[in-house]
Amino acid sequence: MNEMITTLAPSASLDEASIGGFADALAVVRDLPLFADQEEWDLEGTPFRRTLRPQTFAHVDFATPLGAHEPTTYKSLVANRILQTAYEAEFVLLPRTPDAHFAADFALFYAPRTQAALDIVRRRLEETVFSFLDDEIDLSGRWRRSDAKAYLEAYVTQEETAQGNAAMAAIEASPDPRHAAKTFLIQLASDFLLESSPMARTTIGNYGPIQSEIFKVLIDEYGYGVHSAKHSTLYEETLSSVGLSPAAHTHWQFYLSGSLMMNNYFNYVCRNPRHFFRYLGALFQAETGFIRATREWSQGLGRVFGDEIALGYFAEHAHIDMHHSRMALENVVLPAIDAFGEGVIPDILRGFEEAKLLAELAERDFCAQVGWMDAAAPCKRLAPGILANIEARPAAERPPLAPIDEPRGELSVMHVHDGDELCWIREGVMHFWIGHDRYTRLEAGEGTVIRAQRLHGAIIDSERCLYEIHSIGDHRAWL
Amino acid sequence: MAVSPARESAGRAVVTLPLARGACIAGAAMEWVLVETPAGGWSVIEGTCSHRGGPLRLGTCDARAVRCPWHGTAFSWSGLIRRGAPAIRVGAVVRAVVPDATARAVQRRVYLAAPGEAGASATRPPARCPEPTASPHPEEIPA
Repeated sequence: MNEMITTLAPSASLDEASIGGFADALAVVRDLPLFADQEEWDLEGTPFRRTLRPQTFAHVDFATPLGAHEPTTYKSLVANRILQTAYEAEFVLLPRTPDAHFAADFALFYAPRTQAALDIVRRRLEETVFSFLDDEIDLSGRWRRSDAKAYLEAYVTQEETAQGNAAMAAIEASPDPRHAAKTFLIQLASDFLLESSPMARTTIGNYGPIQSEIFKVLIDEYGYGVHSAKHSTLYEETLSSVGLSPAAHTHWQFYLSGSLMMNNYFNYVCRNPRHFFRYLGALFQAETGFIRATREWSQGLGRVFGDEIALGYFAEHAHIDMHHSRMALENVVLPAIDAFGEGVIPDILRGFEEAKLLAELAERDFCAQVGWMDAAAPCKRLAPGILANIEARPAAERPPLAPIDEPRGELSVMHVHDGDELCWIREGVMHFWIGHDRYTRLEAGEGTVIRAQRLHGAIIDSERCLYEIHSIGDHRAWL
Repeated sequence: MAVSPARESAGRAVVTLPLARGACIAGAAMEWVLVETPAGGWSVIEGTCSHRGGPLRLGTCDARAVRCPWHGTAFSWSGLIRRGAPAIRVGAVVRAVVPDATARAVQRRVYLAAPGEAGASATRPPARCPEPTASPHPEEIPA
């Protein structure tokens, strides 16, 4: 194995100095086989291989930041997939059960050229993805320590009395609550299997007593060095108990933009010391919001799966985060204001609100995805009428059409479109995937509406499949 | 929940407002008003005149100052903004901290410009402001 690494590393490490700007770096990322389209839905043996749909990079305007209402667009999905990959290329990732490609993939993922390219791309994409927060959140007035304390404590009070969880409500209202719940667990896996890795970045350096206070929270997350108590280990048990993979990013394709964006935010603010005080606010929000969230998730998942599911992860958080919330406020946030002045309050509060906003966004994205998955039958029923209405129009008035011819086994990895589309099968059979391990079978003369910004994919189940994608924009205009 | 019992939030309220005309905070003896500032920003200013308690939201203003409708006392924008309640905007929602535990959000008639109004300016004449609908309180507009 070492011999393989030695053999592969030199070619992968050449030319990192020749990478110029963003376009060059993106081209390097685009051409890495690790990030090419996958041929399977799940990849269990490697945390390095993860599709970024690199063939579409050239068609995405990464230079223009996402707007506040674009968190689930295609650009957001691709940018967030790349960003998470860039952040995680700075972590040590090793597969639970290495596959045959381990040595080569390991060498390539951590090659200087890969690292250099991802670093350059990351800097641009952080602006692309997160600059909308500058417009979404701002402060006025003079914030004193007592105001900030009152403001943050009001959130504690609100969480103490609030009830109801939108994600659990969506799951339990679904005709297939087990599948919806698994989809939810997959979203959490995007973060929880590497839990607190972003936070660990903030514990290095030298910044006084609050550094040690943050470390106390971190060691809880890491189970005090007892692997079975590590929170990510507890979450692996949760995933395994319901038949999902406990290996990091096996289900990579099924992460929603909102989930990725929230993970990336914590990496974003933890990675750069410039955002340290934003992180402190985000830390308090996460630790406080998690008390109720993990309790309600635990209850909801228990109702869906019964005794089958291992809920230790959620029980641990529902308890320990009561302490973490208090510790974050009293031992980290307020001492930081005392030590570094009230001038740090705006960043702290901004981080607090940003974390809350992104958590809400991720939850809305998930709920919308559940609705989409449950709407498979109606979307299929709408297709013939829409096609008839398109074909009744003169050619010049029809929406853009892309005819596609694919062979058996061709897999279109999970992705989204910015507008509604009509997929119509002319010949052959397609399994149209609407979520993890869930698809609609489409035969010749059948189709489906693909709702805007909803994750989907496809695999061909006939020798060949001729199908059409009509970019209808808003399907209601074609009813 | 493990939070120390003596919270400083006692005596304060965190009040949530829509980013819209008429968004006010009513306290026991004071009110605060969400306004657009002449520079195009926003602020939750003290809305109770320090002279005799007149409602500044019904006053007139120009780019420099707001005048109380009762006796014409002028308050510079810079002072109003400096003394404004600490507040944070997230999208179309503003949350402000005010030193009055009884304070609550209300909709009231406001002649000063609201943040984000198309063409809003600090010199918007009162005649262009929407009239409130009927309300048990003569100055409150039902939500």
